[in-house]
Amino acid sequence: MSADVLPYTVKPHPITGLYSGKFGMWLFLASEVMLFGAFFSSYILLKFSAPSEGAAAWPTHDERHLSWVVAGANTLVLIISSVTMVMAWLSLKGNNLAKGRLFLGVTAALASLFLAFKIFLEYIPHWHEGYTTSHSVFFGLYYTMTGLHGLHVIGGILVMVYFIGPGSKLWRSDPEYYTNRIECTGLYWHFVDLVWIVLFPTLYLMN
Amino acid sequence: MSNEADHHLGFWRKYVFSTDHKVIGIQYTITSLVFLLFGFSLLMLMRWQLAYPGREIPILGKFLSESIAPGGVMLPEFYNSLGAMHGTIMVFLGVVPLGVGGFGNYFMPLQIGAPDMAFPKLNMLSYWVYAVGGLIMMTGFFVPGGAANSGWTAYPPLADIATLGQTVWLIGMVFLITSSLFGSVNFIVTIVHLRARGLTMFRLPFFVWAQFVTAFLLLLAMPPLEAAGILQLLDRVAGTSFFMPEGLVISGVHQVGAGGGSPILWQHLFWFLGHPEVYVLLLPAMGIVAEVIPANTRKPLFGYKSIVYSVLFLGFMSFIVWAHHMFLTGMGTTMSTFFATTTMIISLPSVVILTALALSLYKGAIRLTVPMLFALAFLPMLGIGGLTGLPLGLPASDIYLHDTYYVIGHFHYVVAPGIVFGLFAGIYHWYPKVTGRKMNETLGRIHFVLSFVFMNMVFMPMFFQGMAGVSRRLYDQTVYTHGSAVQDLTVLSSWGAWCLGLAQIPFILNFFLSIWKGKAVDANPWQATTLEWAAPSPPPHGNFVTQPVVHRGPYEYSVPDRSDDFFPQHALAES
Amino acid sequence: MESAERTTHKHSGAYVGVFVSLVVLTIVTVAVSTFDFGGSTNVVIALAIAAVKGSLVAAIFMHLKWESSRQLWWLILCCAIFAFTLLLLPLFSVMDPPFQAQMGTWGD
Repeated sequence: MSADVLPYTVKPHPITGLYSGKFGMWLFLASEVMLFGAFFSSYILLKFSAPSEGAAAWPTHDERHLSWVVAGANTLVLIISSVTMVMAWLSLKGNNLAKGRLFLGVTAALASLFLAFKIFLEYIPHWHEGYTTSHSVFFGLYYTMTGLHGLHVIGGILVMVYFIGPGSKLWRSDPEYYTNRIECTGLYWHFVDLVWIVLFPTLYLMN
Repeated sequence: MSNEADHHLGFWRKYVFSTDHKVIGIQYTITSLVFLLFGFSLLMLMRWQLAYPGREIPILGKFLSESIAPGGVMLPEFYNSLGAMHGTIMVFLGVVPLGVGGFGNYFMPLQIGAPDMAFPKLNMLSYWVYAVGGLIMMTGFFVPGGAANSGWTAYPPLADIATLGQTVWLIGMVFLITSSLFGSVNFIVTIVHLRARGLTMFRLPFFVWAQFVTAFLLLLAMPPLEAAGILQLLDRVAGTSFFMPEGLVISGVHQVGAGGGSPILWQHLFWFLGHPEVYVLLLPAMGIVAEVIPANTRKPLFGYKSIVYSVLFLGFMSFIVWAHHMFLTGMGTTMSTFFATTTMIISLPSVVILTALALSLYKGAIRLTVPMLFALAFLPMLGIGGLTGLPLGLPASDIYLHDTYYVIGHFHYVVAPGIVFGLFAGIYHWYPKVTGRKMNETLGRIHFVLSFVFMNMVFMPMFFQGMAGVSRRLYDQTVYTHGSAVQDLTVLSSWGAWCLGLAQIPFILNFFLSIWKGKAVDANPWQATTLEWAAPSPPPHGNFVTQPVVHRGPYEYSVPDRSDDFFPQHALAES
Repeated sequence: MESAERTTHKHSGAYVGVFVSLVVLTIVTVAVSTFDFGGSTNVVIALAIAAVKGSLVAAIFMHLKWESSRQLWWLILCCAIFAFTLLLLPLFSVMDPPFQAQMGTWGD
């Protein structure tokens, strides 16, 4: 209903050069920057105000026992998924729904692979080794930040599955609108990738 | 743009799960007014304990459970819950949803000539997330240990070890924050994309500008509180210690847990939202007053461009003043000087706006309608609230006044006689647009005079109590010599609060009776110029009968050589 | 308006380039972290590489390179300023000398 009443749901606005959905997505991403920014701010503040020795001291890189191998592999998985995401959008731009859905499917699969690595190769072994949320402030933040990122990955998967399945009906009535929605999904997905790019060195590599 | 689609919708889609911005606006308004009344009732209970400590609460005392008020006398824990919930309800469930969700949703699209919000479904979602958040907050009263009792600011480590109600509070807050996030995205896109033809940014009514800046503040300042809420929730349920310092001893018990956290971190994240939040509360009310004043003085708003630039500057600055709430946290002189300076700077745009509004009265043909009375009262009340804030923005005087009743007096002058009067002005001003009928003038005047007198009776004594050194957190101030010396002021303030409660009865009667009994009026009863008056009252689905085109600025009153003293934005020039 | 085909072609090349750069930079950042440059040099290098990678994603995958919307750039600028404020000011206020002096006495 709203699509035929409200202007600029599909066509870009003459002044901003964006359609409403894309503008809305960028605004949402700005608030996401502030959300993750707050966690990074907490990380920095807690790290610098931690006592230099004793039980509550900030764990050094070696004390964390976080291996970069799984996380590095996960970084690659997310980078590849970002590429397949833009390929999905490009295929739709080239008027090929089948190929677009295929690439979306690959993206969703890679996202699931990321989560599987994260849960089975990192969370569960760490937890059993005693590195729980209450182990130290560092591990608390580690679980919070990667967990929140993980929730964003799950959100992305749900959206992609929706657009592969029931959401793709929109293609028949308005292919351009559907393509736009995939572009917005893509913006979100690349942002999730971007957050991981910053999380990876912060949690796994820095001392 | 027809009503056809509207006719096919059933009752639920039309009145409950509606995507029409007007229905959502009304839902927000009603819900937030109920919450405002409820939050105010909590306060009236608290005032009994403050005025007559240890005495049985009359009438209500018999109905309160033994676990919170044995023998009708409230326990300190219950008093604390009332305080925390009063603050939370008034700010997050009352004033913001009324100013932004209610007025913003209903009138912003009308004022820009849009058929609806840019994302109608998201708009519906944001109301329902807010409603669920509010319900979750309310369930706090029924969990063991009662509702959250660590103050509305939820400072750790106290909040980390508080009873279960605090967890409920945090979950509720996450919902409320998410709701305002959806709302703010929607508002910004709507204002930028859906303006009527000819309506440039500098032809926007000031109310729309206020909503625009408010939406930006919500968008960028709310997420840090969401982060803080998540961290505190994990501290409470997952055994982390983000806000628990090492070696913390409470009541002689050494707290277990890893420690190593920082309670100051919470304060930073909380006030990073907290200060912009003040402007989130204030700006919609200021916007309303800026609409009411020109319509009732029959002359243009003074200095339109300067107040628009001021409000933009205000929004920007509000992000770098937050630590003036934290001068007592052991911050060094470098940072406290920085924040004191930015605080002094941010008072300038507020003064510019307030002065422009006051100067708009000069040589006007003032009509003392009910909304105008509230708008006129808004100016000096906000002035008192703002000026008493200056000593709190300077570390030297803040160290003495911090956490006393002076602070309560200061921000309540901003919020209660200030912002709430602005919102009342909005209700009386726009009621004819929503219902097609005016509210009763006589009842409105009674409501105004009584509210004005009793508001001051409640809050003026607090300045003197505060300067006498009475802490805002006391359950019974008479146990201290300096507290009992000013106990008479507390009693005065309490009677003011109860009378203020009674003074709302004419308003409530007026609000409901006018739906049927109010004087029926045409689409533009105040002869105002902005676009919402171009739509029928009440506006149909899709808002306008013919899509308006804008030819001039928002406040063209008393234009020379015209027969009417107002020149609507959409009217064609007379040939 | 440019044709969809041209956009497609122009973009695909950039996407491949960015993909390769991201993979290479990931390897570099891991490799660099195994050396100790002393002081906070490691942190600076890691963050610089992350910043480059992030910018590549934003510029190419998120199409900022081709985005000419003035409103969008204002949004990004404001967001960057406020995020920066949020990251640094809490730290500054905690690191301000009197606080540290107190930290010392609390530990005793």
